[in-house]
Amino acid sequence: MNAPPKPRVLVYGNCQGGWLADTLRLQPEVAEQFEIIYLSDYQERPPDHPINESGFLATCSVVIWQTASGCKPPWFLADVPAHVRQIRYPTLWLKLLWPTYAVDPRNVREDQFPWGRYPYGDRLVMKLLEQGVPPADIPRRYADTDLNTIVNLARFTEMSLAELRFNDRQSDLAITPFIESTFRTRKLFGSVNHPTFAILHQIYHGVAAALLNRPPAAAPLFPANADEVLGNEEVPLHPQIIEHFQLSWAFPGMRWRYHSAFLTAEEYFQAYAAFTPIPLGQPPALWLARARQAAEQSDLATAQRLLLEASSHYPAVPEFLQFLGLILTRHGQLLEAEKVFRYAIAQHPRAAALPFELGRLMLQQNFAAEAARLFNDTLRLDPLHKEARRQLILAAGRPRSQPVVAAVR
Amino acid sequence: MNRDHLLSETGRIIRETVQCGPVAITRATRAMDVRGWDSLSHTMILMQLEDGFGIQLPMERVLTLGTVGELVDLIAELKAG
Repeated sequence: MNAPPKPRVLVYGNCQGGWLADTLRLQPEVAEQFEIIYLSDYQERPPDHPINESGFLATCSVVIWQTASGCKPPWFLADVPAHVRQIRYPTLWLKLLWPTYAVDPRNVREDQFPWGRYPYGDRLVMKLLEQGVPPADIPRRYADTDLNTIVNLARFTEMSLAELRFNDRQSDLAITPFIESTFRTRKLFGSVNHPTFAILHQIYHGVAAALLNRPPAAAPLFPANADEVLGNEEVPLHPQIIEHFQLSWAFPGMRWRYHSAFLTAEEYFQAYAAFTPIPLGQPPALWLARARQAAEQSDLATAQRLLLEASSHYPAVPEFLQFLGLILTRHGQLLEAEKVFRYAIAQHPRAAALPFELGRLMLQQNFAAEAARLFNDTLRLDPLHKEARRQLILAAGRPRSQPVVAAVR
Repeated sequence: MNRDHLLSETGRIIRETVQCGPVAITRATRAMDVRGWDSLSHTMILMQLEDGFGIQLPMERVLTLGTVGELVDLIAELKAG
């Protein structure tokens, strides 16, 4: 016998709404009860979308839609029957951290860049270019400019927050208290309207609670990927903004993801000023660079997650597991590091760097015999590996007896 | 400053802020009609209007406005008041 159809829930909104629909669909407690259907407010409506069927809205039990000041409500809102429940959630943006955001007239749609090369333009950069400042000098001139000469930061902040509160009032859940209390200590946005999962999860919780009429089970307040940004474009902050708001999560020299690259503010602003195309995609180097930054910030959990994710995306690349083993070693997690190296050697038996690194780890723990064997393995794979040869001599010079710690291994 | 003058000055400020070129801005113009006037740049336009006219816009009211004409009326009210 066929199960009766589940009540339909239409989720309408931008890419944040797309994520929300996917997340609701993946939660068993939601998926068991509802059929989730997403409709984008920024892409062309697919011809086979059920909303094209007459009477579709009457078959929904709930319509979840996104509100924002200055944005029109959904085009179909007048046709939503009275018996269909509506849940409204606010569009996420944070203008106060990017007060110089502007649409750059140079930005146009291109085949490889559906949103243009730089959809997040900057009025200060545009002004400097107009003044004839060459792109190579833009980063320095940009950082040296007092933003208060462009915008009254205090008033802009006041207006931005007022607008967020306004958006909350048009919605059935309020996000501004969370933003106000958190944006200084956690990364909530990577660009003016690209939120991180930390804040998206707040939206998910609010919407799911409204949908289920109770708080959803599970799902941590800050998920493992909390600081990841939805989308692949981040825009570096002006140093004055970091200082003005005392943002503890941002730091000098910080790198930001832009398409396939991981750029410092200087690199980003020079590329943007010159309008250099940066290809889309997530090459291995991007993953490694992001993991390296996390490791440098002693954020081992993020580095570990990035490297494991990268390793699953690129199973043929040994460097992710190699780097993971190295940072675990650096953090004193020697047994974990050993496991990673052994697993990596099994996965990548031709990569000379892996037995070499494991050999160094074993030597560090005074397992000289095993270290020597691993350095020999390294030299079999790469006879020109000078460091392996040097370490082999060191290992050979160590006493063969096992240290006391070996007994507890 | 009469309403026509206010409208012309408002149009100039909007055009300069969003760098949209010589587009006509009338009382019926809405944000979506002007390239670069998106929801994200809206706050900056409001700030430039505040600076240009020496007023402070009440956000509660300004965020409910739909057209440039309504915005001009509000500015006129604030200037008079």
